[in-house]
Amino acid sequence: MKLSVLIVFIYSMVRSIFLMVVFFFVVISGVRAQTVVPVVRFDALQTILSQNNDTTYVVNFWATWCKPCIEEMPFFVEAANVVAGDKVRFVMVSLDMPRKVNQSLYPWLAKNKVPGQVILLNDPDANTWIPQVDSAWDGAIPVTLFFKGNKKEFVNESFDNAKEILAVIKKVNN
Amino acid sequence: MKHLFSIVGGLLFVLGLFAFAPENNPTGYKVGDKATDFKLKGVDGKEYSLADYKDAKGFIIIFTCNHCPFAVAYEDRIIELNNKYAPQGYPVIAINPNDPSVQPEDGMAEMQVRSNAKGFTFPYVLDEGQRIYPQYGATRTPHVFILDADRFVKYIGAIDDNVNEPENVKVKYVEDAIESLKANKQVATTFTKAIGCSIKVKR
Repeated sequence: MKLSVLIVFIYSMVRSIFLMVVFFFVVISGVRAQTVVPVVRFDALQTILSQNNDTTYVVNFWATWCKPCIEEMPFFVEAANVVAGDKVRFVMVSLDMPRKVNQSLYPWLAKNKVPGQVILLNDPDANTWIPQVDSAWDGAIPVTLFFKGNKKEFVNESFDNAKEILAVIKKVNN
Repeated sequence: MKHLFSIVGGLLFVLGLFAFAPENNPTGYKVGDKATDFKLKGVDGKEYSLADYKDAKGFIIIFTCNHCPFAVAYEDRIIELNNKYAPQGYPVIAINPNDPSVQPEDGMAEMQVRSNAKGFTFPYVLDEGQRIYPQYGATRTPHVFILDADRFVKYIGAIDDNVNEPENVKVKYVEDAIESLKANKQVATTFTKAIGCSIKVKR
């Protein structure tokens, strides 16, 4: 076999491998920068709200455009770190506008920490599902529902620190 | 005898308090309550009261603001409501319930910019001192209170059933309520809930 052909063959093989490796890292870093947020209707959230086991659920309703929601997020992150070993699950339900997530939710998530799992609730008939979260909820956000088994606490306002959040977790745990 | 006098005096004093606060309701109005009038300054510098509208058959009072995306999403629909129903005797009056010192985007200057930019056809007034919205019991923006000509509350809640997709609205709560009032019929759905921004108050 001619040497030139061999050299070209080896070169193209190495180049292909190099490109595959580059592509792999681009895909990986892309996945890391863009967290995919599941978009759900209320029935999917209702499944979470109906959980009856030994896990404490903290379900927070928020949006990137809601100033008090954003201000209390670090307190939830802090509280989640404190209870990291325990059976506590944070579900952060975003009410951001589904058509504008690329301008609002995704850029915000790329720069900020959230505890647990973020889901986007896209269910227009809010008048039907708001009372199913809690009868005292009139629709303003932020609000947080805490529950474990049959024990439930609904907090109709924002939190001022992680300590307050941990106190409610403790309350439903007992 | 002296004690009896003080007890009776005390009771009368307490009863007297109630006499002077007929519209004082810590949790806000329910459908059927009589709503308070107000005197609030609008973006045009004029002051607005319900009493100014001598020929009104009712009022569509909407607590709304500049910054809340849900309120913004409804702006076109609020303009349409006013354009349709003000000529029929049911004007829209938009009230901004927020404290501008807590939410600077909701100050009077910004209200004027918004009103001019969108071409609001209705009064857009500021609840200066935040004394009106607690009496109504508004808890979010937007939040609608429909009153009849005598200021009795006929409907409380959302404008329609789809904030994000105007083209997919199935139920227009406010329009349905006004059409019932026009026909002298009972409003079928008098109370609804919706997602909105909380009202900004100093903490």
